[in-house]
Amino acid sequence: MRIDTNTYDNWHLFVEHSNVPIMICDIDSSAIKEVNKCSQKLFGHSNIFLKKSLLTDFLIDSDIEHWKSQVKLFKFNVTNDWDAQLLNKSNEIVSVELKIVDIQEDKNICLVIPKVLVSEEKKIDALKKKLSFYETILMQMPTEFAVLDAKWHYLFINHNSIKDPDFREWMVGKTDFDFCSYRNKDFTIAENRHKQYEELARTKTGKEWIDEHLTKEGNTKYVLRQLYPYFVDGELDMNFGFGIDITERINAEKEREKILKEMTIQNEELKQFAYITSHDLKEPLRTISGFTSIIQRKYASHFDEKGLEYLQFVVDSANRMGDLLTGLKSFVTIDFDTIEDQLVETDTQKILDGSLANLKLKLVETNTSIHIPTKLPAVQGHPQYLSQLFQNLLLNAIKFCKHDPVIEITWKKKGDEIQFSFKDNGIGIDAKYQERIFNLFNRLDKNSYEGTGMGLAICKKVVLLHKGTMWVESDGMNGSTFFFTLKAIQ
Amino acid sequence: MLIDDDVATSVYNEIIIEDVECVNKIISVNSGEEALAYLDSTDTENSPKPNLILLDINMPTMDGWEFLEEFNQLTTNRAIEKPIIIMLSASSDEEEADKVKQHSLLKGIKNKPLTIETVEEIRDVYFSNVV
Repeated sequence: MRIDTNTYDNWHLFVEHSNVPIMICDIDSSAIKEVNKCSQKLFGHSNIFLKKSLLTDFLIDSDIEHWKSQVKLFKFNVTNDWDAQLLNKSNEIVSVELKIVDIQEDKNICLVIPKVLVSEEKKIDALKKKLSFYETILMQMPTEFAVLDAKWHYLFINHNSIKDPDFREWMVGKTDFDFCSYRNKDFTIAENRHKQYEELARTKTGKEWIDEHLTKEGNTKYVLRQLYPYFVDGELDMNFGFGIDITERINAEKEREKILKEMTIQNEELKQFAYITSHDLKEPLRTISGFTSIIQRKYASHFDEKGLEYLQFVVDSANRMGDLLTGLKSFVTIDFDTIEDQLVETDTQKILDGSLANLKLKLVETNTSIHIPTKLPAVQGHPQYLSQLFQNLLLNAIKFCKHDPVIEITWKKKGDEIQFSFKDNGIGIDAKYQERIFNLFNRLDKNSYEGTGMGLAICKKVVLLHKGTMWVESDGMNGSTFFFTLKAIQ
Repeated sequence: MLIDDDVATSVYNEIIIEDVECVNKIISVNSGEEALAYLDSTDTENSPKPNLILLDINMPTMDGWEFLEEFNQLTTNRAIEKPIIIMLSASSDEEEADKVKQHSLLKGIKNKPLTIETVEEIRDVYFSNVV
């Protein structure tokens, strides 16, 4: 048989690196001719040393006899595997199953494969190692963990549940009632837990509840308990219980609720305050306006020119204060609670048409032109507040334009929102004022333009209450574009 | 008759009404209680019964609605001629307007402050036959 060089090399490599020990031995002398790496590892000897040795050098006496009898049988083409014991370099006994394989016709040499047998003890050792690995994990888990049998005796308790190792050991095989009497506690906790256990046994599903404990310091500790049943052949076999300390979470939640409640009350008071202020301040203001107009009407002849001018200042100021109070009232009465429940599908084109109709006279007077390239879409909105928003934006664009206002209203869909833009050819807003214009009572130019400084504040509040955002873009010269987003119809 | 807790408002309303020159006598009271006492009086010489009452809603002790309640009792117990009653309100509240519409004693609601036009309108609508 001709062996291809390449194939031979491959086989050599394969055998050399096999994880099974393989040797070639002389039959008669048992001299070792070839060994692979795994054999060297098995014996703990080098290649050179092994090749100078006999296989029988490493066998115990009884196995040497066995070897000799096997060799005789081998020559008659009979091969048997047998359990033998080898001595390695450290004089340790390694149990193997020896296999002799016939590889040559004239039977001068043979293949010897010693298969290492793992002893029962070693298997148990390995299992113990594994067990301790898992036990360590469970023991050191950052939560409380325990295993209970089907009758609610503890089988395992981790470090986090009971810190004292002796007590932990004592608890094995005991119940929650034993725990309570040992610790001199009343049985409430044990009774409550057993109710949960019974419930679990009945429903055959996991349970979750929160335990409240009083700590030594007198604080309440909250522990989230989770209990999972483990069934074998449909019968409850054991239960895994977890305990997670959620005291911080519960306290944070309580704190949050408290703050929220306080804030709701404060907000309500503030709203009430603002409403009453704006409403009640109007009464004396009406009297001032009323009597000044009576004075103007009936007693004008008693005043000189200066007196009449001063009277006019009183009239104008009273009127302005009236406007401010009206604005303030409409600002505070836009209510967060009511707006949220009242969002309906609203056609913004209709809203805009309504606003344009309301402002018809103003649009004609100022020669304003409105461009709407695409019909406006429907959104989730509050019709009344949206028309307030649209009307305020239109008025704003007209007011801050020197002549012939041109307003372009466009929109585009952005995710689940519609982004609107109102672009005007007005005086524009310098970058440093672009945030401030949305603040209440903020007016940049009090002398050139009339107003209460509430229009845009109301706009922004309406948009915010629709869970949208509002901003302005302007280079400070060539008009401004007001943007806002509203939720699209799903 | 003017019922308003704010004296200045009553004086103002008196001036406006006098300017329209359509009334004989204006009785001005500062509370619902005072108004009821006047209306209850049998002395027709010193306490002539009004044809028109302008009633403020928002008053401290007895508000406009409570006054109407009491006045209703008064008129059912005794045969008192029912005057035209019009409410004066500071706010143009829709809810309030609905309540006014449903009230049998009320003829209407007008916004404060009272104007000459409003008084003329009341005169033309409710007293066109008197002049």
